[in-house]
Amino acid sequence: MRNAELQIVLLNAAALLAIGLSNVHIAAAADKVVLATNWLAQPELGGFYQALADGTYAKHGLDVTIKPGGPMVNNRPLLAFGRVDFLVGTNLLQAFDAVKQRIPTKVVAAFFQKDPQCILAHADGPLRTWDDLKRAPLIMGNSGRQTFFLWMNAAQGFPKSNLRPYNHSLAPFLNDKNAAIQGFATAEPKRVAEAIGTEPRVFLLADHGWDSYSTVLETRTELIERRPELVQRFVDASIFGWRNYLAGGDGAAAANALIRKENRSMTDGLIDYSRTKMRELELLGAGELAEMPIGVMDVQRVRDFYEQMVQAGMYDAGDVEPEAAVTVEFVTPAADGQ
Amino acid sequence: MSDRIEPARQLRTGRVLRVLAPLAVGAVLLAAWEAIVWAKQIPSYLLAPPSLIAKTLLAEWSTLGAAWAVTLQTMLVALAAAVVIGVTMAAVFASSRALETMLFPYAVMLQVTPLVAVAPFIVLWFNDRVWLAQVLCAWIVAFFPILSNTSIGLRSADRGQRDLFDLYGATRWQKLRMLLAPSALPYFLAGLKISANLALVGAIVGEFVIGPAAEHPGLATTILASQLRQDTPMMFAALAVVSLTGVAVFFLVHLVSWFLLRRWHESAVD
Repeated sequence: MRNAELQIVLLNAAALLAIGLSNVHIAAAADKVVLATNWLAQPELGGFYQALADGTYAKHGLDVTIKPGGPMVNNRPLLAFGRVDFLVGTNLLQAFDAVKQRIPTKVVAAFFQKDPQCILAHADGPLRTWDDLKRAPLIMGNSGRQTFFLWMNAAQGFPKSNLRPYNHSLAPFLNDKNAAIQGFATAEPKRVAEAIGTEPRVFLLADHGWDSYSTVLETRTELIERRPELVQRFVDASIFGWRNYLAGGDGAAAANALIRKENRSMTDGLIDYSRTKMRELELLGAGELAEMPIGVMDVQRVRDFYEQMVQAGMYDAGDVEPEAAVTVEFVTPAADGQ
Repeated sequence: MSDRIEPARQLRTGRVLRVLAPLAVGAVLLAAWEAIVWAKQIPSYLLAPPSLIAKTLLAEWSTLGAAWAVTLQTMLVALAAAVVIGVTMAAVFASSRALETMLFPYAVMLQVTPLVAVAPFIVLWFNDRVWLAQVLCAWIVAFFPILSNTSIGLRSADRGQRDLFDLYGATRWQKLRMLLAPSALPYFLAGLKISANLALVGAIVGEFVIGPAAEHPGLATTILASQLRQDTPMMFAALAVVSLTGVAVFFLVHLVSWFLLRRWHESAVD
């Protein structure tokens, strides 16, 4: 008997044994994969929780663990160290930084075609337009200041002197009708409405020229080279997860239960609001869910965004080859329609 | 004759050793660090070698130096406030047992309150005066060792001398100035040595949890930003600035302490 045949026989025997002993399926042979995210469990990461909760990852031969991020948690070094296999990144800047620092990681899929990052102002306050915001005290945390605010400052004329500290509490905003605050368009408006009864005005950065992809999936170049089929399975399963999560209904119940279990501050109201907003704002793409090109990236758009950031003074022209930050081999619009 | 020269020579060698020994340890550690990074080909984004950190330190000094000045200022103001308030409170406690019993528990509460938890509120109470809130954070962690040490120091004047002052009808001020203060001085200086670097840590942690002043960020922001931008050499360069500042401050306090105590206190006599 040749080696390969022997292996198959043994595997089959092991699988039968597993089924016989309990109701465990072939998961015994599944690849262990750890996905680190950029925030606590939330609907904006729903597709990944969906694929985990409804067994899509398992069906793709993956035994996935999700390691959430959160305030004061920086999961990013874990990817370079090899402690996790995939990482959800917030936008393309950190992918550019990785190239600049010669960190061998790449973006393999971009789930949000539009960044939900926004600035909120009170509905009954004096800030009515994007330009009004430039005169207001702007409550913003450190990561915002080091990323999209640099663009807001250089390209849009938001002065640094208006910045106020942000510690993941809406209180300083709720307390001041003249203030503006950073937020996710899919979550914070609802939190504000729950606190004071009226939804705030929402200014999406994406509507004013901030053209980064968001919720991007990154992995190590080494994994892409050594196990491209594993990367492909993970990307495919995650895309299925997102499609099923957006479809909603009972199909998403398991994912939402998992999200609520992992993040106690999540409520059904917040989850429903986020899911509705993700569709409404066309974050994962426009049109019918079945045809939506989830995960797709356009290299030209990546180049253009990099050019924008060079003009905003965040990089020197020759710092980074933006194409090196991404690879489009795992998601093609044609292959996605399945 | 040799009997008389020996002690002086020993003293000098002792002093030279005191400077050379830590430098030698540092040189060996840095060389080992550098060698491991090169031998194992560890990429600089995982662990930057000392040579690259030094290069980054020089190349990025315009950023690092500005941030350092901000943090140093926060630290020094907080430390000055800790000395003034700590010593004053200790003097008050020394003059009245009742006041001490009443207030000391609250000083302890201040000491054990986790800065990380209250800092975001401090900045709200201060109406967004970010820098002042940072100073308060640094003060909270720096003030207790001074209060606690000075309190004990003021109580540890010799009983017999105390009686002598009373016997001759010394005023309260004379007693404080000529008896209590000198006997408390070594204790205060020991407290200062702890507090000085706690003020540095407090200034940095305060900035971490409160957020930077809008236009003049300090070293914590440099550290956070370099983490976020995955610039490991820059992060280590910022940490090197923190370390060197800590060592410099420690020796400065040590020197002041030696200068004040050298004539009479056991701890400073060679």
